[in-house]
Amino acid sequence: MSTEFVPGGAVQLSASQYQLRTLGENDVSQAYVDWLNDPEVNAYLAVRFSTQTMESTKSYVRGHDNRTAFLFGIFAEQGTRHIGNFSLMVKPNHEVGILGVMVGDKAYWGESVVQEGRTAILNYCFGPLALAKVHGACYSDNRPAIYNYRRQGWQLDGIQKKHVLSKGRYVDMVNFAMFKEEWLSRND
Amino acid sequence: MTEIELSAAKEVLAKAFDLSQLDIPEDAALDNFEPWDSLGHVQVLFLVEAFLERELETEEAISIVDLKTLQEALQ
Repeated sequence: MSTEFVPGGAVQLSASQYQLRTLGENDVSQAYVDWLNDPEVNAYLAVRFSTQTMESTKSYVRGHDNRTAFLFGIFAEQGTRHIGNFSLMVKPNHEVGILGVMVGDKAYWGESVVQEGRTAILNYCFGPLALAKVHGACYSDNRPAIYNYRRQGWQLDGIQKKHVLSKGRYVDMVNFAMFKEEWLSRND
Repeated sequence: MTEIELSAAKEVLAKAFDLSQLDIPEDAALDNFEPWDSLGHVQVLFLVEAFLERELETEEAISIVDLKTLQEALQ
């Protein structure tokens, strides 16, 4: 594991209370699969449209090459408790990253997991990965997610009106961006 | 910001966080006021919608990040 970018190599990052590290097939547990099938957890995730299994989840994990596709497990309790994931897809030709998050362990909802984890990943994106922009998005009815983006200073990067179906209603997709210069200036 | 408008905005935050208006600082913002967490923010937006008696547009909901923008949303 490295804190630097070694193409294809596993990565480990430290957030203040959590560890983020490349997720492997061995990290796929029944609890992880159960999160993906939990309507409260998957309410804003594409995985809700199909039932997930151990094999489908392992296949998803295998799909990350640590070159342009990264999957970071979020671990609490000194790295022993898997509580969620960050996914990061990189478009190297454009120096853009697309970041997503799922906190599956409900005991950690409302905690600082997303803020702390995103801070570590943004440092990795704008440091070792040398990206210029990181993009994130959420449904407009996912207000805790909007809070998390705004609290961290992400800029609005466009609203796609009535773009997704959520809980039987058409809602907006809200796009956010963090730019390298903005992030570095905020963290000087 | 008039006293009445400031009071309305502070009242929303006080209700959302179960505090007194006196506990709401003038510079309260979601990145500097500890009670203003993600779950509290959901409650803030709910109370704004109750005040306005309508659902917030996405742009309005995103704009609320501190006492000043909250006051603007209440107008």
